[in-house]
Amino acid sequence: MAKEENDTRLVERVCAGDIYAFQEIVERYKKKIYCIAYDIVGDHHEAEDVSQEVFIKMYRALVRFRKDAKMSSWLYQITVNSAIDSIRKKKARPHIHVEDIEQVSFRERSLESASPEANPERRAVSSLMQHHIDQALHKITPQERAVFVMRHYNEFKIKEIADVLEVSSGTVKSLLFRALKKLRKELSSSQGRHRWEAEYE
Amino acid sequence: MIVEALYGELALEENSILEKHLKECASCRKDYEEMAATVKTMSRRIRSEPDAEFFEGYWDRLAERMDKERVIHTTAAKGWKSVMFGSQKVFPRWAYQAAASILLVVVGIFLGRTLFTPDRVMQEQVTMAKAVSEPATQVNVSQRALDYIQRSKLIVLAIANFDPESQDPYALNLPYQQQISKELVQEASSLKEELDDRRQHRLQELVSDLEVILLQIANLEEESDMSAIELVQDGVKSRGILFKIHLAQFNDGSKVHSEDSRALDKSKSF
Repeated sequence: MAKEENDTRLVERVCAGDIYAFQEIVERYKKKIYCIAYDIVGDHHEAEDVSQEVFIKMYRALVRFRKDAKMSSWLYQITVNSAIDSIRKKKARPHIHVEDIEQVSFRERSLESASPEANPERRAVSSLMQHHIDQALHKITPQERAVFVMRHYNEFKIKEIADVLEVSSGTVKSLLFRALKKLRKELSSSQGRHRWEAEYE
Repeated sequence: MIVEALYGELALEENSILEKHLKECASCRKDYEEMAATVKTMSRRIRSEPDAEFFEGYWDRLAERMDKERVIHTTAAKGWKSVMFGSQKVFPRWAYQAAASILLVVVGIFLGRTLFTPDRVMQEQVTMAKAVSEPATQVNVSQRALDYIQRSKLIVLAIANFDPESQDPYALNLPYQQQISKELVQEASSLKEELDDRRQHRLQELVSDLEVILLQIANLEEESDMSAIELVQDGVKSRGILFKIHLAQFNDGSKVHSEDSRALDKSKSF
């Protein structure tokens, strides 16, 4: 509650012409916005681009922000919509997805910090599993993915997701249900599934 | 109900109803078990996150992009980056404009001195400074502060950009800068009092910073005292005066972007 009050004060300060207040908002939310964007778009460069767009859109639209609304919800809504728009634009232009060196290095570092004691073989199995999970995640629709990643990886409750996206809780549950069904199917059909899942158990 | 149960969002009573149903319905039980396994597998995902350095530099990259996009849309606020990173070689457009203004003032004074008596010139300058410094009753205090900042900027820039190695100290026309500085220092205290709204806190701070610098300029003893001028230059640098001025003016200019917000609603995906 106190944080929300602070958010409201920050918004007031930005509206009064205080750019430092805007910087404070960015510092406060950059990581969460970036992570949601990354979970939806699945690419670090695109996630940074989307997260920057979110803050720019927010800054430009701040004068129209309803004072009774929750700033964080509004920010998350812009994030989800911008990430989905980015996926649409990307689909519209020919694109071959190649995981770049930076992306692979982020993944390797994350795997190392998650299980520093693991031997190289086990780490390779884990890496393969991560690959299959990411692939499955990007086979579901952007809307289903948005709802799924918010609930599963970003600790939003179903009701909170409904509030952020301005849809009913029923719609969120339905999207989550469909997402889980499709993910199951994708993980099952993945050729390496039995190998990595069995080895990892 | 299954989804809520999987994520532990089902009330106790509803949970027992579901459990009872799952015991009786093989199809729902299969769905539930499969989904529970999927939730477990998906929980093993490790998000590949960038390192701390990436997030530390986030604001700088965002500020740079905002700067660039403003150039595209308004051709204003160029130079935020160069001010921010302290580039001294490439000056932003406003610096050239300010330098041109100062040059015009210097040429004007030179011509004036050759045509009129010093007393009369000084009297006219003081009258002009008073007229410029006089607060307009119809203009709100923030606008007055921005006007004050703009006038102070011209003085501060003249001193900050002065290079003793390549410029004649007398080209600075220090007596004139000092006269205007005195006028601005006198205006500062009333302006600071009027900037009492907490939302104007930054403007108030900037006016205070400018007051200190302008007071130093007003008290410079002679034009050839380079160490005193360098002291003022150091003060401008250490307090980040030019950066703060630019931010205040950038922020004021950005309000014209409100129309861009209309595009936001159109891009809704949900």
